[in-house]
Amino acid sequence: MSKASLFCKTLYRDLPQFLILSVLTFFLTMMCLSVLCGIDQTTYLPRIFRASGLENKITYTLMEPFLYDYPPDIHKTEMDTELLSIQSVPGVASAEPGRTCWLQNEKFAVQLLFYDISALQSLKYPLSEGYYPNPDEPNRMILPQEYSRICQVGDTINLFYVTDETAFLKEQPSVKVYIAGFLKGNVSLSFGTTSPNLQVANMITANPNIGFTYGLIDENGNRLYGDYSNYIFITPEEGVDLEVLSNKLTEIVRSKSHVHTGDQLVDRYLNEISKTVSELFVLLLSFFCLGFAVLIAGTFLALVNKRKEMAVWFISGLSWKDAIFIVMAPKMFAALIGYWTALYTFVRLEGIEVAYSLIADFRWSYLLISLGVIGIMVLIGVLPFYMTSVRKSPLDLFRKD
Amino acid sequence: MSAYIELKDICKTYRPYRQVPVEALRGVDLSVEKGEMIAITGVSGSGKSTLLHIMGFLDHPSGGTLFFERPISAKMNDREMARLRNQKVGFVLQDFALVPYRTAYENIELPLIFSRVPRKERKKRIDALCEKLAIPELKRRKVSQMSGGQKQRVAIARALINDPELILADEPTGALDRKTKLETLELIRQIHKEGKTVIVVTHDSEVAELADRRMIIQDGVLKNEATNA
Repeated sequence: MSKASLFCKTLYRDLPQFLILSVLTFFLTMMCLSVLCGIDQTTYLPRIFRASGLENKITYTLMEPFLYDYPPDIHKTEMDTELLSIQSVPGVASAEPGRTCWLQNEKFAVQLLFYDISALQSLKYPLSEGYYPNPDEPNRMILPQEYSRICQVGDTINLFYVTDETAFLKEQPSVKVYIAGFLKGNVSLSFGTTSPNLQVANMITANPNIGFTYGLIDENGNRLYGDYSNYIFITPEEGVDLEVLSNKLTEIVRSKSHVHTGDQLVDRYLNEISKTVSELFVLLLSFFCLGFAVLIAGTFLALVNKRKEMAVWFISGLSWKDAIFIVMAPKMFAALIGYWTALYTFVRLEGIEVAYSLIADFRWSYLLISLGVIGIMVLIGVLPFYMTSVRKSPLDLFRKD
Repeated sequence: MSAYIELKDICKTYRPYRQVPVEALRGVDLSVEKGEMIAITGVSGSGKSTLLHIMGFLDHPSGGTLFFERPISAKMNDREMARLRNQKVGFVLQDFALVPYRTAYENIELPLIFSRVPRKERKKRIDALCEKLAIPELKRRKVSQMSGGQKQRVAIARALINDPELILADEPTGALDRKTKLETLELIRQIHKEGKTVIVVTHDSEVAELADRRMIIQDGVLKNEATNA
């Protein structure tokens, strides 16, 4: 009661400073959480990419002039030719084309990528619900999270199989597919973009209408293969240097600037985001310095200004350590209030863009790290003053001679 | 030991950083009976205030034994010392030791807050004491807006509010004019008359004359000077 009452009085008298410190700690914590979230999100794609083993493969995209004007059958022929040329290069273990199809009915449409090739079988994204089917289980599909609004895990839907070949048929093959799960978010592989500077974020990106399957069989028992995309995934033989193989491939393929090793895809991405990450760090550091400066100045001023009052508390029956603590406690309290408010706000903002196209996504590890940052700030800003003040006797204030 | 307060061979040595140690008290022996008033005189730097700080649990002695109603351990912790200061001792200091930007009420209330007296009870006791010391009109006034005499009355009220048995006064009239000095002396005399034990450190012979016993301290050594009682 006694200390609490003095603490409240001290806090009330230092209210402006208390508010400034709370607000600064709020922004510092928000920045800290955003940076953590940013690091997590920016390294998310390379992490998925590396975990799938695509980093140790070569991605080639056929990008001939007028590609989009090619009739589908010519594109298929061109791709087959490229595949044969690539497979003939020494050191190539396999070359597999990425394939896609559309499944649709009057209420539902989704583009499916075939993950049945060895290069993609290990490509796994976090799921919001459901499970990954076995690669040998056909007619199971994983859909973007958007689809959870119109269907559920476990639903079985009859859909028509649409490709370049079947698009103009009177009756498309019918497929009965089972919904195995939904992606966490809509991020997955797509075969849409290609460029000489292709990077991971162009390949694995937000696709609200692209899902994937490990194989499709129609109602008559026929295996369905989909259309070729212009992507070819090349797996090297064991012990073959990826760079050397990439150079050999560049010599024989038609789109020479479109041969990319896994390392190149990741490095280009990391180079692109490094500026954003460093800007976030600079902002975090600025807030840290500002918060730290206010804390140090506030603590120092409070201890100087209140030294006499603390000495009066001391002779009135409070220990010197407790007197110092009561003066410093509002600073720590302000930091705590700012911290927890920021944490609460961040959790409430989950799924919303906070800065630099970062989507707030709270994880428990963020709590510990941000608490550590604020803890260090408070510790460095308060502890030295506390230690110095404890050693300095209040009796000097009562000496006359 | 049967005295109320007894100091035996008390020493205090200050060891300033990178400076020669200073012996502020050397083998001080003092015995104080309950209700007694003692005046300690001495020149500046002789150790008067240091002795007062040790008797008031503001500081630890470097050596010797202290008895205050019971033997006091040399290793007594800060909180325990603070509790004794709060319950057993009232301080009246030359510079009043008041928080200037707080009201008289808030200053007087401090020892009661630290001894966890409920708010209503605090108010009752402060009102009664202010009436007794004839300062009811000062309660809501900030200390910075008071005269020296008023400040000293508030300081005396703060010293008495927890009804301690021992009042330690360090040059209580040092910063006062003649008229307020006499008023303050009268207050101290009344406090003593009511049975409180009073130890006054002073340069002023008029103050010292009030005491039952006068002592002089020279270079940290305490000696008897004269006796009034």
